[in-house]
Amino acid sequence: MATNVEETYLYSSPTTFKVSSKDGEIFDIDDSFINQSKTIKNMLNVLDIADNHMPIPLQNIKGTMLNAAIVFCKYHKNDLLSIPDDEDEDDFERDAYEPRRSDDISEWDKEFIKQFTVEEGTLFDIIMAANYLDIKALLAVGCKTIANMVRGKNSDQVRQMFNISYDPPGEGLNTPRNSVTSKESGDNQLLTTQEKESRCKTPSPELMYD
Amino acid sequence: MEHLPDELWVLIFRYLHRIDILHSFSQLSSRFQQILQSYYENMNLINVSYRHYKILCEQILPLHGSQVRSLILHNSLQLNKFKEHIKQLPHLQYLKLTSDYDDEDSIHEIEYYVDRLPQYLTDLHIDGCFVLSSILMKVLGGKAEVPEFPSLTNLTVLGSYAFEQPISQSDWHCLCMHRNLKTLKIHLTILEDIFCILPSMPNLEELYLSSLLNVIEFEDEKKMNGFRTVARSISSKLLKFHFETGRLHQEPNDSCR
Repeated sequence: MATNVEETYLYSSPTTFKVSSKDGEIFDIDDSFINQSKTIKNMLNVLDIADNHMPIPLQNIKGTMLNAAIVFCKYHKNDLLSIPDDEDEDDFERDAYEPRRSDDISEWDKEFIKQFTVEEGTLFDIIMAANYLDIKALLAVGCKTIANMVRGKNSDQVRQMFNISYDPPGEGLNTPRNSVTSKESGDNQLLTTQEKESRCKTPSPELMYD
Repeated sequence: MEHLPDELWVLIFRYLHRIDILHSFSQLSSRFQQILQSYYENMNLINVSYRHYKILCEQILPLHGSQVRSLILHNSLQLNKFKEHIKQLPHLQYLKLTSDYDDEDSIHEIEYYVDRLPQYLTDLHIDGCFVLSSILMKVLGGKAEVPEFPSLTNLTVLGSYAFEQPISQSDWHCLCMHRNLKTLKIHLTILEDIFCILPSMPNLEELYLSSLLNVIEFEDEKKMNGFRTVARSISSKLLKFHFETGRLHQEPNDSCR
């Protein structure tokens, strides 16, 4: 677990900075964000940023996601010490087969994450933003949300839910040796995963590679 | 979601049971098959729910059994139920069969598995139950000309055969040579049996041995002479020797650190 000493950042005042998203939006960030984003903290420690009027460019993050991450960090500014970290990686007592808890998302976090959807792809965007900014608590909330959506679903349902593309015909799982042989129809015809899907009652999702 | 990198999917998977991961993401695309590879390879059925067990046996093993490399089974009920599926794992390399100490039914189930183990098994762990000496003899080759499991490099037999007749000297002398065996963790009721086992393992590098020799018996000159002989008979390639009286814990490594 990170210690208080490690949490202390080395840069001196000022304690508010500006950051710019890849679409040019500029935001003010303060300690609540800096303390929770290891990426920003490292940037400030490595870069000699004397002028806090010059925005730090975050070229990988859209403005909407950066804004959401700032809101999240502001809400969680006081639970810094309870931020889940990668300390479990070093826990040799931990059973590698035992899944981590995902039913412990707070009500506020549940409401917060609802604004992001799979359909629009924003749920994945906020997870990637949290990963890039290295905000563990936000990353955990995103990952737990996806895990809770998936649990108990079979692969056809997951394909539909996330609109996962098939391998192109003749490639990957659709090479003849990997194709699914129809047993129900009684013939030995090799079916691609798409063809198998099309014979099921549920409609197949739109193929993304078309 | 297609642009979500693999490492983030792996982070998400940390919140899912392994069998749920395979159930939900198998056969989606070659990319996911690649990510799932290590999840197929290692199966631990300890504390697995009936729902997960059913998914594994009915949906995952028939398609992906050949990808399983490591399997852990626990208690006689599970050992019994899984019998029909062991043949679906032809490339199994690591097998751990465990049971509670009072689970005597597991003896017969373990015998079944030992008779049908894949030939190229490298790691076999039998732990917790009373292991018949016949099982031990079977694993170590019995009277066969060549070892039953020529690839075996790690063998753990922590059961006890206290309730059975000791293995006869003539049986021990018929053991095959296990030239690939590097690590042996074994509990012996009769310490002297180790003299008969060791010559069949000329390349042994690690020996973790426990015996029912107790403190009072340390005063028994005959027993102590036996122990000294064990120490002298150990392979010259041995790098680590751990001995304890009583019985080795389930994870002997812990006691040896």
